[in-house]
Amino acid sequence: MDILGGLVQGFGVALQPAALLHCIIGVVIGTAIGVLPGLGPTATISLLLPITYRLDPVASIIMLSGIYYGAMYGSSITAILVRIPGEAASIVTCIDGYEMARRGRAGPALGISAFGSFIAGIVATAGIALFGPLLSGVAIRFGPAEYTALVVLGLILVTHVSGGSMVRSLVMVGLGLWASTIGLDPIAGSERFTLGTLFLQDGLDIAIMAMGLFGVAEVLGLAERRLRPSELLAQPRRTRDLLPTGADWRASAAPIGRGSLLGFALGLLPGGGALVASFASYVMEKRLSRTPGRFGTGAIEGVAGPESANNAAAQASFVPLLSLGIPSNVVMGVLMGALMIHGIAPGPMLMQQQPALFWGVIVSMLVGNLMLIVLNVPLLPVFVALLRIPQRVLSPLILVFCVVGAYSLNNSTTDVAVMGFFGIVGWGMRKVRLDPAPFLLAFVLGSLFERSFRQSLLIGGGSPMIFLQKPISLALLTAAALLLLLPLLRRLAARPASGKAT
Amino acid sequence: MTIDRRTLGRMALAAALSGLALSGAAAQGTFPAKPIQLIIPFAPGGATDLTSRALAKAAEKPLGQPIAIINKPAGGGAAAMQEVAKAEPDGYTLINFTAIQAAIAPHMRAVPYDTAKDFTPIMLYGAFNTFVAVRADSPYKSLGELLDYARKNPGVLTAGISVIGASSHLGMARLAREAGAQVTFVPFGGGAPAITALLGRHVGSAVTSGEVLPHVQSGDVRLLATLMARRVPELPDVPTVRESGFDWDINSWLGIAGPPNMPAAVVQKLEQAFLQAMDDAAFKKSMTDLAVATVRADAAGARKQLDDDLETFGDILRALKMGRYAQN
Repeated sequence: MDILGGLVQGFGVALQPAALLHCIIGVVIGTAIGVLPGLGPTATISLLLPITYRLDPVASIIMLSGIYYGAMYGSSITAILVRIPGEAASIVTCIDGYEMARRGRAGPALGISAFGSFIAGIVATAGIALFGPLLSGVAIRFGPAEYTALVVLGLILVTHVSGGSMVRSLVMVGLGLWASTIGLDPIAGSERFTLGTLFLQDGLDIAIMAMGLFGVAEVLGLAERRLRPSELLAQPRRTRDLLPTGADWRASAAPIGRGSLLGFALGLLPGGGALVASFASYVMEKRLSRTPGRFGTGAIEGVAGPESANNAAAQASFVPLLSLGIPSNVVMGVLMGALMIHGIAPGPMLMQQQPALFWGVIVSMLVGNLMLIVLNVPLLPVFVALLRIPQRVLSPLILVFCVVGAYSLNNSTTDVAVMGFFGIVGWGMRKVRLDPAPFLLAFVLGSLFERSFRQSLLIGGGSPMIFLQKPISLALLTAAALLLLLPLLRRLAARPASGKAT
Repeated sequence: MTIDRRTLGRMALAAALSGLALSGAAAQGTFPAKPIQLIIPFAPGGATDLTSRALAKAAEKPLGQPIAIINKPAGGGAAAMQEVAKAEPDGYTLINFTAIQAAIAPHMRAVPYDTAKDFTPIMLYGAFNTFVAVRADSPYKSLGELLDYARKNPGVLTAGISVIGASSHLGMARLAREAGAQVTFVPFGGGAPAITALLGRHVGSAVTSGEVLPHVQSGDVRLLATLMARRVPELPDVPTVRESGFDWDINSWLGIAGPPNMPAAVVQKLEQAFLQAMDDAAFKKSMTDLAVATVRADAAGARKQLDDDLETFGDILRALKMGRYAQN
């Protein structure tokens, strides 16, 4: 496959006025629904599908994919400004992004998230163009056993996610793992901890819990303390002061690079995606940081890494869809439906039969990312100005958005009640200094782990040897073991040399 | 197959309308007088959602009113079923009625509705294809060969399925039981990830719906049989389960239903409109594109299918000792 020829063709497609128009419509809608909690890309793309019936297939896929990665941009805005994840993929951004905003650094947080996303978008687009079709072959080698090993590696990294005491975060990890088992057993289909209710059969929803634990809990907390405007809202007004500083850039460069690569890799995997990528990046940055204590108190790395990772992952997940016909997450499943409605079968034949579509969509991502940065950076002062809205007006507004968002996920009032419940829980947790982040992280990893672990055992005939027989899984487990042993080995190695090992 | 019934239905409708005009129930005569709500018990974007949206769109014209679509996937669709079962039977609240929630779920776990009594079936428009698939480089060329292998090597053959209790699972489990074979089922939560696992050589076979078709066209996957009664027009070489030596088939139907005790005139009006909508070009295209089989049944046919399948799926699950009949 001639990549250069493909790219030239792609530019030819993506720069046509109609394609540009659909791209901009897509990214603007995407940003908007990303900002609004609850209403996500899956629902939006499904609802817009009928509109695209009459459109040219390339234009409609360009628009629908713009919605997806545009949402990754938008969701960080809500996370940073009001501590509500606009999308699940921005949950970790609530931690340090919001802390930055509280310290009068909303601008740099928003800025680094936009630039990081942009850079990640470019990296991902380049990655897709250069290796996409090649990498997707590797991606399907990732079966249940390999996935289990990857999650084990992740779980070992998680133990370091929280800044607080080890015991407190282990309590939250335990609760998160338990919460992930609520609902129908993913293998046998039997009910667990459903208390005989219908709504618990689906299990708890990560977005609902995050909106409650972060957003509603924050509003409740603010209602208690009488805030003077100056306490929270000391934000500069000039655009120049809102952009990340040189020091910010130096701190963020490596996290953006690592986040882009990590996000790209995780986005390629079946079942992978933006949410896991953002968590993984946060954990990795904290692990690599020389000052992990700053995480949770407004460390810019904790925004730059995850926001780059979720954008890279969102784009990378197009690779398995376009080159193998494999949707790696729900959004890709809906897009696959969109392609099929246009009579295009996503799969290995797509690149040969529809080169204009393949390369057009990929180049449109480049164009779309450029549009997003051009749209977002001049709007920075506007977004930050939102924080100048008096708390007594902003707080009820946040609650309204949360309620509407929670309802719109499944058109269910029960979800709103569950969010309220988690809001109160989150408020209580803050009183006793328990951190919701390890809870949510363990929740995500717990369900991934259980499903793939049990699938592996079924495939392996009940024998755990399957994890050692598969080379990729063996390699990942070895890495996990090394990570566990490394501090020990380092201490052993340092001891004879000198007594001041730390 | 429903032409006679439809003509009868029209005559009955005319009779009912004239009767109603006399009895003063003019409100029913002018049904529908306001927008209709169609609840879909699935998340947006799947084949059920997209085809029933297309059907509803096409039914708006004969009905003369818009149809508002609301997705309520909570509780595996059971919450939506419960809501419609208890709704006002005036024809303004309808549900996308499928074998999954109506005929299978009651045998899998306790559900807050009694399908036989709590719904008025209006029509059926389609059914999910169920295919038994292997990789193209697999040595098994027929369903018989695959089951033979599974019989000689108990528990070695793995089959990727969406969830336990899906019609794909029940069909393959019944095949295995009747062939005296033992198959290990691996649920992946959806058809697409099950196919991914098949392509990645993590499972030996997969039982899925139409989402497998692109991989058949690309030559990566071979279909050994369809579990439906008839061959699929697009795949004339794929034999049916009956042609493979079994005396049953599986019909995982999709249709429209309303609450119990709906007035006959309203049911007929809706039945006519939705059956007419099946001729719409956009609807037909959505069915072909998403590889959903067309099955046409009027209200009486839908009722019979429902009653039969409630029993059939119960028998299958009892024989397999699964769901509510599990013994441990």
